[in-house]
Amino acid sequence: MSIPRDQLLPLFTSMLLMRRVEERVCELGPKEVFGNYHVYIGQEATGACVIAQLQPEDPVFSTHRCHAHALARGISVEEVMAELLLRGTGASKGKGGTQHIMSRERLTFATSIVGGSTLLATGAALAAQVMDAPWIGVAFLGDRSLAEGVVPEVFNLAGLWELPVLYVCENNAAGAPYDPRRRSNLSLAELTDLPRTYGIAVAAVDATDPAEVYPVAVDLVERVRRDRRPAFLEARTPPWPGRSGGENPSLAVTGATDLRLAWDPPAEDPMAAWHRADPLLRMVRLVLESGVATHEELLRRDREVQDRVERATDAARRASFPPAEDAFAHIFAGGELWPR
Amino acid sequence: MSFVEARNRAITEAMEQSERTILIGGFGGPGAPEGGFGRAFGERRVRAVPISEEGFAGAAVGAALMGLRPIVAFGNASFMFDAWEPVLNEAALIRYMSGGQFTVPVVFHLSVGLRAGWAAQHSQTSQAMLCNAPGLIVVAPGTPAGAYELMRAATASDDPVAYVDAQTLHPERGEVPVGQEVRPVRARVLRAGADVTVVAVAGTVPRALRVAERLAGEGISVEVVDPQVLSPLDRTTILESVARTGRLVAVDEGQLTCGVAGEIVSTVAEQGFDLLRAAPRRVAIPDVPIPPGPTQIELVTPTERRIEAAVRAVLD
Repeated sequence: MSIPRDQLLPLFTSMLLMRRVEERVCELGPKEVFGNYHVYIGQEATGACVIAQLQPEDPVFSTHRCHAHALARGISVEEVMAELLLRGTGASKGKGGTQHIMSRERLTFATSIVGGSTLLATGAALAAQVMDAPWIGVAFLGDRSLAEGVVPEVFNLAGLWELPVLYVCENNAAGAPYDPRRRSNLSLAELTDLPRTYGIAVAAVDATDPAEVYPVAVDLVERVRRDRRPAFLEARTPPWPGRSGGENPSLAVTGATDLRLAWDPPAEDPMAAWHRADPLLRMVRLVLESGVATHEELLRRDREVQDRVERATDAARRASFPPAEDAFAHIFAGGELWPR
Repeated sequence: MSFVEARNRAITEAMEQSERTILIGGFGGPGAPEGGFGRAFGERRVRAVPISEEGFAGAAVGAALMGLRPIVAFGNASFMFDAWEPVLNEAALIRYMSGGQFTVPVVFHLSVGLRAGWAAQHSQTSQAMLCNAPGLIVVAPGTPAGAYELMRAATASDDPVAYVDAQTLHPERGEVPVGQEVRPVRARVLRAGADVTVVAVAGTVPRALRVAERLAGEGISVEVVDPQVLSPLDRTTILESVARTGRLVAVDEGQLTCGVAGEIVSTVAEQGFDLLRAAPRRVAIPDVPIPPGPTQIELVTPTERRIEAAVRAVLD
């Protein structure tokens, strides 16, 4: 099974929106996006394919790298952009920022403590079990989070208590050769070795290829939902060349994505390795091969997405910061129960 | 009713009133098998846990986000340090960082109280550290009535609550008005007095009351205030008491530096300086790890002897 025809354009659009937002983030830079930011470029197939399988009642727990997950969950570009610029109109009312784009309506959380997402998703699955509720907990996590002690703790709990939780481990250090020891500081031959030890169903995919991610995402989400047991997906992507150690990522190395590269690659391409691994360009090829859209239609859609991102950026820039006294709001649920 | 019976009665009422209240238990404390909750409510809602404090406390936070109301029993307060991440970084902050969208109704139960033989690693007193986490309610009952009232409020709260349970209070007995509606919790004036206010926290409350009783025989009138909630602190009740007495002794079985007693003294120094007729005093653990031996532990504990000496000092 590959990607169903009717899913091709929605997935392409979802990935494209992620890409154009992240590129805009890189252009805005640390002066406008306060603090360090972490972008999702090169990983889009994972978030788009997994989140497309979820129901609105499935809580999603993301990480410091949360912009794209938020978009895939349906948090609007306007709310995401405003939160990135810490405006009061942001998804988290300007109290979260780049690493904490959250929405109660969309049941989307983000914690910047490495491994924290696995804790919360496991607990959400516990709630489903205790309450006989239909949802599954979904955690996104990075490859290096497997070095945190809490990750095997929750694998143990999820295996022991048979909790309906899906761990989506986005290994964005999985270049060739695959080498967790050198690339992720992990004494593991394969990342899946750790959850497998705890009896968790595992799968690994080349996440540069949406056609490979999609059926595995469908299968794992269905299995967790049906069997009410945990599963673990390792989504392997090489590091995006625009991500360089310590500095905030920028487009200095790669430039903004040119969709035409998907069907019209240059004879000499210094970025050929990245362009081969770019899941968005691979998605473009899948769409074109299927015949559901033409080059022109994809380019028109790209212009629409870029316009929307630009309008959202403008709106965020015009919006106010939340009132300074809001620093004192949202600490407690309130009421008269406790002293003030 | 004993302190433990009162606390467990409140847990039972919460478990009976809502299927969403669950108990995730460690060693000792209300989660232990001898508490009887497993038999009463079944293993679906009363979870025996592997020894993984960060894991099960974090799972409780995630469960609370999705509508459960877990009570997490860490057992010894020292073990809670392994769960600092979910308690301080997740439970206390999710509401704030989401702009008020999410609530985390979870109770973290921890046992404190100095006893000979347990040694420093099993004798941590973390109430002041927890008070440094805005977003977390910190309660510390000092009486059986408080044990009940505060557990009822904690299990009804939409905010995360750390319930600091002084095991030295467990044999204490007292009147406990049970079965009432959950009401707002404030500091309690346990004994009225005219000369000195002693604000005593958790396990030090009965000691303060006995000192007050003894000194009454000498004509010294001591008012004893149990703050009950350490964060947010009921500063009003404390200031009103000092307005009546003009003198303050703050007692906490926690470390002295940056401690709860210090916070109480600071509050009065800052907001009630004109009320004071003498410099206030703190009685706390004098910044030493807790030794296991009986003679050494006696020296560092806020005992009746030390409380009495402090009361006499502020009257000098």
